[in-house]
Amino acid sequence: MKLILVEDDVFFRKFYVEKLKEKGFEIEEADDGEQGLEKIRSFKPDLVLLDIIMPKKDGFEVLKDMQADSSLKDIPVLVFSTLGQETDVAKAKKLGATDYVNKSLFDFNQLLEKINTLTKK
Amino acid sequence: MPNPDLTTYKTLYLQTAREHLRDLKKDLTLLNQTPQDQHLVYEIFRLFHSLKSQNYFMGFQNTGNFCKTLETYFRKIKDGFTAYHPAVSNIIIESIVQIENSLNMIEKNGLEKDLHFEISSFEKRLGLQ
Repeated sequence: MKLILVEDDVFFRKFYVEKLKEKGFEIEEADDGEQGLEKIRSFKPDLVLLDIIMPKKDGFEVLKDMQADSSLKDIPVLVFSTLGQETDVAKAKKLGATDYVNKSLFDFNQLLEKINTLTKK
Repeated sequence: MPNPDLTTYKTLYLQTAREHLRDLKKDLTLLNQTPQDQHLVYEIFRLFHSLKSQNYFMGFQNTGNFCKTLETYFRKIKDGFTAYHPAVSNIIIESIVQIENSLNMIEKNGLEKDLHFEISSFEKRLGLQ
């Protein structure tokens, strides 16, 4: 299973990449939206874990670009949100995000459940 | 209460949180020279947002709530509801010192600073109440 984590915060990136690798996922990482989009195009993941507030290109722009690209628009996107971002999550869903997790809650099992649900073909 | 399952990540948390504070100081100095710079406003908003998320994740709710106050202030500027004025920079610097103090306490004894009073006080001073 191939995942990509697009997240600007090195703390969250290191934590989640380490935990997901332990569970056997093949995972790429990107630290801003611009790099994220490049890696989504080259890596062709089964699922994108996408932060919203990022430098260079934010999560909303990444979603817009993915929707405009026929080779990317069907890849499920799980938004990595945090408390107080309810409006951002709603906007992300309108732009094509499939679901969201609260990355600040440290509920790793919930994240795994969502990954498994979204990648079932 | 700090999350006991995450103690192995405390060093990384403290290191990255301090890097965010260092970048905040740098960006704030630049913003005082060019108060209309929306890129700098977004960067400062993003850094407070990251600090908030990290603190909630580690279980430091109080420090997270304090960072949320500053994130909300810069979100309002970013979204055009208010403008940044360099006269406010002293308040922002004070807020950075409060976060630094909380991080120092967390490093020393594992407990964050009680910032209940400061949250209310900074909300008033930043016109958020």
